[in-house]
Amino acid sequence: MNISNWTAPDPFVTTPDMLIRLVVGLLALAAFVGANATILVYVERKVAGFIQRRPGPFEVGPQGILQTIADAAKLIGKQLVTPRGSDGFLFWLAPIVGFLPVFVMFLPIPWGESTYVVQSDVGVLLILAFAGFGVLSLCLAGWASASKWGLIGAARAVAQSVGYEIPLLLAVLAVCFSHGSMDLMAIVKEQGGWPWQWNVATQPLAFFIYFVCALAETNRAPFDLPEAESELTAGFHTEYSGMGFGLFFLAEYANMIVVCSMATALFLGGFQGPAAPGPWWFLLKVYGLLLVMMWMRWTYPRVRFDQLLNLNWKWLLPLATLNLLATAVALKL
Amino acid sequence: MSGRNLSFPKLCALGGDMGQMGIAEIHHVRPSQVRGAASLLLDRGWFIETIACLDLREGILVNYFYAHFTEPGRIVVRTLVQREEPEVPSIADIFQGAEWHEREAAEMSGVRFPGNPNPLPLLLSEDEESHPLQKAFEDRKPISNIVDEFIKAECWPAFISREEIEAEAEKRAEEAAAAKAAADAPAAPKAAKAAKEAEA
Amino acid sequence: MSVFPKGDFYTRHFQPSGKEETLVVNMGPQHPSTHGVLRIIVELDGEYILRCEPVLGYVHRMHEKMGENRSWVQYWPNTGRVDYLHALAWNWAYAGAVEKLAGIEVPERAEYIRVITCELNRVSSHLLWWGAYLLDLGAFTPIMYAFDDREEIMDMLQMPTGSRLTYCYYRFGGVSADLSDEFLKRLSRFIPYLRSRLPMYRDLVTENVILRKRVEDVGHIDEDMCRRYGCTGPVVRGAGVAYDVRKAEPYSVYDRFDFRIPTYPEADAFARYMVRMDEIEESLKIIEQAIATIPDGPYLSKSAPKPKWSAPKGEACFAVEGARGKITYYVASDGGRTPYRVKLRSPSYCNLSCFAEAAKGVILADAVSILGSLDLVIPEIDR
Repeated sequence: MNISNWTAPDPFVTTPDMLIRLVVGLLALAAFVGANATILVYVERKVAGFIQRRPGPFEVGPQGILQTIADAAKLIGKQLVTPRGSDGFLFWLAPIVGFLPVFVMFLPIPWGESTYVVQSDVGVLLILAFAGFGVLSLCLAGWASASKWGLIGAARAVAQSVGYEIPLLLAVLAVCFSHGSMDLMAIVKEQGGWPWQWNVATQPLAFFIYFVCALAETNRAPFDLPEAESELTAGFHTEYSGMGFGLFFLAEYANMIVVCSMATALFLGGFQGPAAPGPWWFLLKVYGLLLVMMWMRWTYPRVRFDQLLNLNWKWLLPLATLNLLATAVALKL
Repeated sequence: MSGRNLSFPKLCALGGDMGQMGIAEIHHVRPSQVRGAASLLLDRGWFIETIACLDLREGILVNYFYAHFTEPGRIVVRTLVQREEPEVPSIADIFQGAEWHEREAAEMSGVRFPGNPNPLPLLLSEDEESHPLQKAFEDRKPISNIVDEFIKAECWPAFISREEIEAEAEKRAEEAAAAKAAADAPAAPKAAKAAKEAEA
Repeated sequence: MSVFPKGDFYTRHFQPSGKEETLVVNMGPQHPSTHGVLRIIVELDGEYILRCEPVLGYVHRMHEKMGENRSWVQYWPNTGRVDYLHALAWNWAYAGAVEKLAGIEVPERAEYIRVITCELNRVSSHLLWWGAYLLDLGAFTPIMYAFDDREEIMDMLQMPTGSRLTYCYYRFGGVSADLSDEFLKRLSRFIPYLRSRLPMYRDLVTENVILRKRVEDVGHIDEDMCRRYGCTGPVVRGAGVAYDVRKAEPYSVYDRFDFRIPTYPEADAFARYMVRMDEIEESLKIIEQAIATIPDGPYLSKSAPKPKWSAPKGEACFAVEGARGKITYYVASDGGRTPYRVKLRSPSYCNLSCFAEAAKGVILADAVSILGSLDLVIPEIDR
């Protein structure tokens, strides 16, 4: 990474056509995220149904494909209740704070050779920086809803997110070290089409750490402690109704796509494939990872909070540090 | 009254029958002796099953049911409290599980358990004043209508006078005689008939 | 810290311990892991429970008073509604108590029918517990598998009993209907099927490392504690005590069957978990033997009481082993049309009473794990 990049002007809005690209890209991303979240919810329920030997949704539309639309309509139609004693402004700010940064996180993701919104030298950093907003939103939601369950959920969310961001960062850094770049496009391009040319082959430990941390960062089972419904009723979103809850829900699925996209770009060769590289390979890999996440969610029990933190501070963090050191030493040699 | 030798202070002890009534031993104690019984039973490894109160004409009969993890049988420790002062010392510090049983008995039957660490209503609403398992005056039956062994005179001297017990015993005897007479009555004509036949 | 300073009666009596920075929260009455309307007031220091107190009575129906103002026969339906998951055990306890009181003989075939249906009901209860417990621990899928198998049991039990959940099948001196050949055939097909499923459950769930971490060394309830609180059933067997009413006070024809009382000495949630999983197998074993040796004959005694019957005076106690522990009915009669007193000893009630001590100082998630491992049925607690 060239240090002069840091002093370079803002990579986003420099020229009018860049601005147009950004606006169009954001609109396209909004559509993509919305559509994908809808599809993902449907896929998740079908996968859950498959795992649990039941049909899943099948009443609304053929094979139930309109179920999520119906659910979304129901959520939008519901009354928004602001609980007594809560901080109304922060209470409704929280879901928005949780949802909006997700779009920005999609910006530097290289879907294909030429399918991307912005190409930034600090793409990885951008995503990680905006990922930090997620925990702020959970914290706000838990605090502002004046519910004790929400508060406990928020406390858990903060401890968990802050903890797991560190090994995640270290795992990502190991990849960035070996490529000498924080540009996702450059990292993808340096990997080949075949699985043994991907970074997962050279950095398996980093991939493992990244994936575990990604599960924790997106609050997915078995690390869904901030919303552990059997312990905290619903954790930070206990008090949310209608689209307030809907936005959290949407953000969760959008975050899942982000972390899986990043994993694909960093470790699985991005849009490269054995034949005909292109966005389809990217989406295929992303959906593959998403299916693994769903599979885990419907298979595993939830870990306990102290076990979660122990896993992070006692195992993942030292391992990630060692991995980073080993990478640095190997590069030096 | 096996070789268990449960020698806590008591008024009297009766043998039950596991096969007939599901109770191996019944120990009648004074309310003040309930705690002694509980400590000894805990020492011997018995656990408390439940506390059941019976609302009777003579007062409220508080039954403590004990069972054992390895020994067969069931022991009932029984005490009668008077309606005017329905108090039995709490055994919640001996058997912690008894706390809830006592609270339940307190709200249902109106027995007080001084010493219970948390004397709040358990199952009923906190503003419920009545005691649902107390019977109306005319529904209350004397103890002898239910518990046969009552007639053993050494039980209950603290609450029921000797005369009452003797009156009850007399009544019982009369009833038994009457029943016997009734049973014999049909036999008499039969005997006469048999005698007639023999004559013929 | 208290967001809402005013509480209700119980919260006001539950004084905070005076420590700074503790949080008093209500777990329930509407809480996903209390399985019904149980309420537990918890004082939390961070995630740790300083102390807690269960508040009962949200589904209290006063079964004991109902017993006093309806006739002996009319009281039957109540018995199926105390513990809806193992209703037949409560049926049996009432039947046993009154049969003992009145000296009613039960035909041998009826005893076998009772054993078969009660054990089948126990299996279904344990299966549901298994699913619900895993749900408490955050695994969603097992409950679906458990319901799948339980569905088959409910379909089968529907054939003789006519109902699916709140059975009212036993009668004084027998049962209300004979077992059909179809039922027995279906049952003998079902036993190998469920047996083949159990290893899968073991591989998928019991051996799972996350589950092990959640249940091992959690919720220590040892023999002494069981004695002080009167805990029975899987809780005491999980503490290493082989106490099972079926062996301790053998009733009916249980002494003719060869079965084991599973015990685990660890006294933690995992021990209780394993006891229940083993009990499913033992119950299947009992059912198998009972099907093989069931005699012909009447299913209801000729001297079975008619609706207007009244029991002779006296008192009787009868205990059976329910899925949750020792169920005891105490009935006292003055010879009248209605019982003079009916006392229900429910195992969940006693098992829950030790929760406050068991959950002291543990983390909130462990409290959920302990609560689940006690296998509570709230209507049985509140009666």
